[in-house]
Amino acid sequence: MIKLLAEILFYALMLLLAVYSAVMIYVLLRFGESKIFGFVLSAFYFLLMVSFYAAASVQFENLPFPEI
Amino acid sequence: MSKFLAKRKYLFPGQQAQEKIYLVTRRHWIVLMKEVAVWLLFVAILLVADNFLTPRFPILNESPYAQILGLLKTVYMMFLLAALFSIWILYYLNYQVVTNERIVDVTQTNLLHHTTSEFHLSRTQDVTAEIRGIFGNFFNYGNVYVQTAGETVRFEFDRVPNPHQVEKLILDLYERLPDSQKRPKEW
Repeated sequence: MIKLLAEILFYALMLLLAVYSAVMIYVLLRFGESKIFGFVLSAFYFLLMVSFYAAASVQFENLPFPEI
Repeated sequence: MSKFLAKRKYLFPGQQAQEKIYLVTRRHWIVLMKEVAVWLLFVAILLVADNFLTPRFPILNESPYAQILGLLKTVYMMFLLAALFSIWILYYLNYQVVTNERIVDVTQTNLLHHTTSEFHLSRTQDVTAEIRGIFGNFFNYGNVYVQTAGETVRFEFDRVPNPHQVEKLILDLYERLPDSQKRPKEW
């Protein structure tokens, strides 16, 4: 039960971040002066975010949840 | 894809082919740095947690607290990165354009609120440059207000570099307009 709640919280946070990031990238590419600059920056941001997500995901999987 | 990446001929919606852009300006970089400084305070929380909390509470180095703390730090860093990107986007997408025909103000109030407003130079009534505060005087940035005919709301260039030069440019471009386009002088 605790694990389920933690999973819901964790993946809800990740979903929030993903949606927010997608909106940021969309706005940058839609309204930015330079598309190439927008692409490069978005790719760099995406790479960093995916790296962080991978780290967070592994850390979450390694959490010891109490057996109830 | 190639169409999407093609060099843009136009900087803002409604730009005419013969229109010459004289100035594209956005807020001074020091304004961005002020926002980044606030962001750095949140980064400092992470450093404080690492350097002061962990040595004082050794339990945080033991399982399961160490794993929980590690996860919290990673998620916190993700939010920090998103916040920094957001700060920069809002800085980058707020700009003003001065052309030989008009002034265009592109405003991104937040991620989902984009406004483009413009007016023809011939409607210019009064241009005021304003430098305020220690930072404004030291780094030479400030507001430029353009009063337009028939409107009570002033057009504002928010904390742009070299406000007096911007003011002069707008007045010079107004003077270059054909007499037929200028508003009649009020005696």
